[in-house]
Amino acid sequence: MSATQAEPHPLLSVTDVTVRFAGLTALGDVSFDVRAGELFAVIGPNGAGKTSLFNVLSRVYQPASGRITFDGRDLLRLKTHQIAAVGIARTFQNLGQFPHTTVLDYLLLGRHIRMRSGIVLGGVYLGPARAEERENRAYCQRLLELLDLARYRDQPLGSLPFGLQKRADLARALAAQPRLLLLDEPVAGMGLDESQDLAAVLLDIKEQLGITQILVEHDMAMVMGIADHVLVLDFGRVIARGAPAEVQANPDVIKAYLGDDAGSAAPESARQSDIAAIDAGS
Amino acid sequence: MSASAPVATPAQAAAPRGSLRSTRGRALILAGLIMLGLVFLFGGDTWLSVLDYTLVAAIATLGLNVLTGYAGQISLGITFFMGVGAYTAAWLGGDPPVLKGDPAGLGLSFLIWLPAAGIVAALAGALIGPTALRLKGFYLGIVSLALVFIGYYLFLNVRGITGGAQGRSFPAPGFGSFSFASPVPVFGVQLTSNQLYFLLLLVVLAVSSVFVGNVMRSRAGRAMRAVRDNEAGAAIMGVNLFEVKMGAFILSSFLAGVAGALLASYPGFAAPNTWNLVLSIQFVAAILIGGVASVWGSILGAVFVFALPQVLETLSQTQSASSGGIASGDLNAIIYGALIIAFLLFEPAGMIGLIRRGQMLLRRFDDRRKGGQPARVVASSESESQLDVESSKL
Amino acid sequence: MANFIQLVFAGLSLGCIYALVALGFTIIFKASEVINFAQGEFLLVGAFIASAGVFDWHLNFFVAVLLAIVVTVLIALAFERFALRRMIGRPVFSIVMITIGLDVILLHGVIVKWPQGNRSPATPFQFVSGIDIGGVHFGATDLATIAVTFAVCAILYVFFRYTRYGLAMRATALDQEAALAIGINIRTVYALAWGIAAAIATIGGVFLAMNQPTFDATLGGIALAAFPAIILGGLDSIPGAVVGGIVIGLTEVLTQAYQSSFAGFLGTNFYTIAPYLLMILILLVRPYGLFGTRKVERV
Repeated sequence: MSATQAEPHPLLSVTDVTVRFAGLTALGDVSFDVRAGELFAVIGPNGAGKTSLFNVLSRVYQPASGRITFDGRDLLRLKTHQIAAVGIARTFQNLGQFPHTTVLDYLLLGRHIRMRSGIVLGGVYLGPARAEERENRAYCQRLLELLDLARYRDQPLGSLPFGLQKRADLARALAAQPRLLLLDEPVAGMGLDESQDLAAVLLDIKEQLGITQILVEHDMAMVMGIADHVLVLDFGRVIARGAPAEVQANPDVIKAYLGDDAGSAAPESARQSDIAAIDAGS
Repeated sequence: MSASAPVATPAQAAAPRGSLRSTRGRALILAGLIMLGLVFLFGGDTWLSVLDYTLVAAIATLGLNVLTGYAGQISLGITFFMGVGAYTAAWLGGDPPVLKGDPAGLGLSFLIWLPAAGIVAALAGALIGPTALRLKGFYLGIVSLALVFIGYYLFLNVRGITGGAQGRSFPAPGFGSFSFASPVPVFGVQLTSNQLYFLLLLVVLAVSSVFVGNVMRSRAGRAMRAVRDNEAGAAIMGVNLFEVKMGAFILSSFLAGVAGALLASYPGFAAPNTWNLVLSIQFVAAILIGGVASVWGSILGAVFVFALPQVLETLSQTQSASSGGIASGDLNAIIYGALIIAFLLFEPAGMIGLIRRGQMLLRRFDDRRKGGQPARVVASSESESQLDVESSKL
Repeated sequence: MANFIQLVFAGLSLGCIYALVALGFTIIFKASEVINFAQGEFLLVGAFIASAGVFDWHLNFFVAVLLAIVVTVLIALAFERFALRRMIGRPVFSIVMITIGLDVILLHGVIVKWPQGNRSPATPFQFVSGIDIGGVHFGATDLATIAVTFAVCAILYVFFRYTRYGLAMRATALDQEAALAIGINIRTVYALAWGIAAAIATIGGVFLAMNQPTFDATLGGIALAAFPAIILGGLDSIPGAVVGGIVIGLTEVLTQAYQSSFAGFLGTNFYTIAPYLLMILILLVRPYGLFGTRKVERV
């Protein structure tokens, strides 16, 4: 929206995507582009459709209409398990799914598409499977060290505090060596220090690894600080799109968080801190 | 470049997890082997036959654990695949029919019929899989239950192979003219039939256990467990749900087929009602009691559900209303029914879970005794089997 | 033609028993989302206790049946309270298995307590044979089975529709959290569900036993055929359970009667698997049953 020179072909192009459930429109005609290498944030009040958007991108939901192109290919033709192979990785909002899996095994699970041995090779083990295991365990070890998780390597995910689980989940997504990383509320449940650390990690991912990131988040200060572009959703529709500064000043955005009437009943406290962050800039 | 871990936690430095590494573990295994050796040499037919049936049961339990414990697919239908394997073995290896009503047999070698039993059962799994595995949870359970009844109906009616309701004979393993059924001295050593079976079953169980353990510590095993824990999450990570479920189903059916063939071959006889629902439930009880998703758990579970009752029976000289062989009496059934409930309520990881708790307590006790800080608790009691040799020590 | 009507009548009667089992099952499932594999064994316990009551303890038939109901209800309540309640939140597989554990205990417990095998069923119809109309014999037992089943359905209908507890159960079935929020005592609902299911199963068991001159511990196995009924009717549909039960009963009886003439190549005992084949066919098209609702897994 704001670029003046010819833009490079966007990595992800979402056009008029609509998702409906039994009469409820979770997403209505949502369109946006994400350029390769950028950090793109999706914000909006609760129920705005952010998770639905992620579920469409990770092919858990099928949109009622619309087109999505990823790296030139039609994303909507892919099934859920195929997105990892084309380079899309996603972190999870809630982490109760694999409580007994150790951190290392979880990362190795992230390496699933980068490895090849099946039941037969695995059962025999000596030979290709063992070499593959060694190599990938080494890779995951380095990744763990990078994210300061090495000492939790053999601990089951369920035994870790939520913030560490989130970090392990991020490591797992990175382990797949994705081109596009979908981050579902990466700093939820973290204190100020932790979320600042993670914000720095995300910037590292962008600058050092060149991975494109799409972020769904409620923490305004963090988002405005690191995002290149922001998309604002409300009731499933796009109400603003652009650089953080533009979006912050957008009256529709402020209205979405404040409510229709400035004098009406007090908004939820979450919205209040959102408003504070928007007002304060960052 | 080795993939060794950086700063090890005190627990790791003190006592590595694998049962093959710690001194205590090695001592236990040695003790176990010695006991097995003693039974083998001096046990006589009674004890050896209990052992032999238990070994066969362990192979089937292992197969079930692959499907249900590791991959999370409920199945009450393992006896169907055991039956398929058994009748394949009978048809390929059985004596050629002499009289008109005799069941079919091609008289082929044991080296053909045993693997074939597994392969045909695996093929059955491959055929049934795409339909069955579309179902989840309870529905899959009911269909697997239906499979047992459908199997019984088929076995009853395909009289040419199965001998119908009155059953048929099954071939004994052998090489050339040497047969397990009536063994002759080899290199001057005369082993009994039960002893030969013991050696064979031990080898088959050992190979199966190592194979399954290897699968579970590699990519395929991780994928299975991910499918069990959360299908949607696993799919997002790139796991092809259908392929993984099919793989588990086929491997499980293969093991069940081999176990079925051996189970029938041992007494040399079986009828269609051998492959029944009660037996299926006993195998499910075995994985729950021994430990789901655990190789050692499968073996322990088989011992508990199949060996222990027989041992108690033999020791107390009482006979309960069972048909001998692999079945256990009614009192025993009440016990394992209660054990299922007890384990599910209090220790879902089965006996392996209990053992692991014991291990951790011992380890804390050890470290405290050696002075210095108590070891940090590394893993919860619900993590997996001891045969999952830990990462860096490859 | 008379033969056909006779068969339909028999199928209806058998179907009513399946309907009773399926009903109890569905009630438990609707209230607590639990699949009770032991439902068939409640039938068994009910039949045995009623029989023992009449023949061993010389009780009046109705007293014996009442005793049977009381015992099975107590077992069900105890199981729900002490075992099942701790399993809330655990995966489906574990909950299925724990009911299988109960099933095993009940089945073998009955065998241990009454090892002799065949028993005579308790029945008030020793001297009443039934009505004959147009060449068709409407047996007293079958008539009673059908009548009682419809009575049970009517009572349940009234209960769910018009009483406080019935309403509470329906609310819980719809949305447990909301029910909790408005103050419904979920524990009572669970207990009620299991109690009702056990009582209904006992009645079913008593009637099922009456169908034969003697019966033994395999009676519970017959109830396994109720599972196809449940899937046909949908796990959470009460009318579906009844319809499913009757359809399965009719399928079984008619298949048994006609299969050898029309499809002799299918061999013996085909009727035992006909319900299951029907069930599998349905599941092929609708993996969550005919009226089941699709479960969505949260990511």
